[in-house]
Amino acid sequence: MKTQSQRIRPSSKTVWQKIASYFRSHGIVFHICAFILFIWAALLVFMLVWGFLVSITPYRGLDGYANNKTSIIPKAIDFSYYPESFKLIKAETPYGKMVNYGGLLFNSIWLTVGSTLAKLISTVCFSYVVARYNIPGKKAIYMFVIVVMMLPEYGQTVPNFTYLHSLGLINNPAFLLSQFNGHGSGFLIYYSFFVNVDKAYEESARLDGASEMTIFFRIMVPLCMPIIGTMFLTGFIGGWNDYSTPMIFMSEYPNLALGLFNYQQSRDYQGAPAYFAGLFIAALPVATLFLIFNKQLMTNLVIGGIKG
Amino acid sequence: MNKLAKKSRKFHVGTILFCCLMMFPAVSHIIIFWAGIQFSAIKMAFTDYYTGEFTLFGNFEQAINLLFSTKGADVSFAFANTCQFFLVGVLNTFLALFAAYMLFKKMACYRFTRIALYLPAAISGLMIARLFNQFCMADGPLGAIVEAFGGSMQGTSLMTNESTAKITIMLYDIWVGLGGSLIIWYAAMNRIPPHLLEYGQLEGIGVFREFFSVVMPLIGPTFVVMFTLQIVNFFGSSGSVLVFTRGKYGTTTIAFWLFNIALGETENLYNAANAAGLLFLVLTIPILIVGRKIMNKFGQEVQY
Repeated sequence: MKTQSQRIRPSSKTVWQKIASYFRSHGIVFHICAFILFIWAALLVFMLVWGFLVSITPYRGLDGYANNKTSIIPKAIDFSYYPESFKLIKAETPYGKMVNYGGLLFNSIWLTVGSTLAKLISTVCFSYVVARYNIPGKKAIYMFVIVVMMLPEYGQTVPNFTYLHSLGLINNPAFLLSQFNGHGSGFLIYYSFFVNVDKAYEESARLDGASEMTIFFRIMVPLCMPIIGTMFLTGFIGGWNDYSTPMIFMSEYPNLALGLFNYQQSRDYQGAPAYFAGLFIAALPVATLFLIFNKQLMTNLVIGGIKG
Repeated sequence: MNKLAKKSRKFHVGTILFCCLMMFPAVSHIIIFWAGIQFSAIKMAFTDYYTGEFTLFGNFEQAINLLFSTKGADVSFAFANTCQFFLVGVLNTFLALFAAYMLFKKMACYRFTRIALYLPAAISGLMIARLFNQFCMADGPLGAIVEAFGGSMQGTSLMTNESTAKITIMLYDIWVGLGGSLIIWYAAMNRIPPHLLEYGQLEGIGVFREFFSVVMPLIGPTFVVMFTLQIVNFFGSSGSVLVFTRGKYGTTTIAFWLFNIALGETENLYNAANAAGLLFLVLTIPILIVGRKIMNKFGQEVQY
């Protein structure tokens, strides 16, 4: 039971006292390291701020797009590059079809959501059965996943392309079928969660007459929701920013990332401000998701576990 | 009683159907796509591109010639670059581990630092790379800093110069590349039971002693997984070459060379590239075994 004075004491500390107590809590080396890390992070933010300022600065030709060198604050502000970038950023497919900003955005959405959901559904269902049921070859499946994860992927680009080409999946929306990949690190994350869920949950549900489907959808999925959400988020972020997969396998369906990747080399390139405006617009959905869910993202992804 | 219940559940038709249904997407993906691609890779490595007939060593010879002959000098040069980018990746993983610990110890402004360090991994890598590229130009902030010290970057570009392109990409990878590993280390540290850390603190150990004597042994399994994955990707180390230089200006890597072939620029090399891929896979195995043996010392009870 806390006394009145104990309850008051922490809040009665002034800001200076708090700072002093923080500095006393660790040695000088710790504070130097913390300072370096802070500067490291601050420079990253500075680069983003600088990029944003360039995107609202009137364009002054190829050699002078940047702001006044002595100050990063622009002398004039011009937001017109933001609506303009919608018109400027487009992509030409290998067969000569022109895809405008709307088309790029549409491709980004269906490709990202489709592939993320495909991977998620496949991985959750697969890991759940392997973790919770005594199926034959359970250990072999687990070992298979580990071994596959160990196999390098860099030599697979060519056979992947030729094989999918032979199946007619290149430049075909059915390409999403190849995304139902149930193994990999996602499997291990879900597996370690499901294997640790108390058996009492499903046993009491079974006593109440619940079917396997009911147990899975009404008990296990809600319990696993924080991890599912985090995995969806990381998958979405990765898919949204991925330009190499559409570049190789879906070049007739370029997404926003690929459009922006190709735009700088295109004849339509009209300088950094419009390009940066396009980049900022494209980054908006994932940046918003990240800023809202960054805490969940930072604490829910565990691979390897800890000892004990 | 428990055994009986298990047995009856094991043979329950509804349960079997449920398991089959749940495993269907993943298992069919493994059979159709994963196994299909592996089979296709092996078949291509042993098939002559022009005649379509079986060849035991033809593609491997071509791959080795490309990798080590003067004709394929850029590819053998790529090997050296791959090794360097691999070392940068290892350095990054260690730096991320250190950064995660600083955040875990709630350094000043840790919330801001955490978000800022992970931000490049969350928003488009392309965007960060393009910003960095312009950032380092004569008209960007770096140019202004150089000018402030009496120098000039006019007419020079760090990314289009053979002597600076690779080192600039490496510095970029170190600067912005902490996020991906940071998230894993940070999550692992957050799973450490607080009472274990409190015991150490009661004994009066400092933060760095705590890091090496308490935190590192506890996150040993994560350490093993992270570095195993790093070793596996040895020949795939490529840094941000694709987005900055597309392999030009002395920055090409093995992974980029294979990637370029897949893009169809040199279709007649498909089979040789597959053979090279298989060669690298075989070469990775001893590296992996040695690496795993060393790392298992850090985390013998690995629970993936």
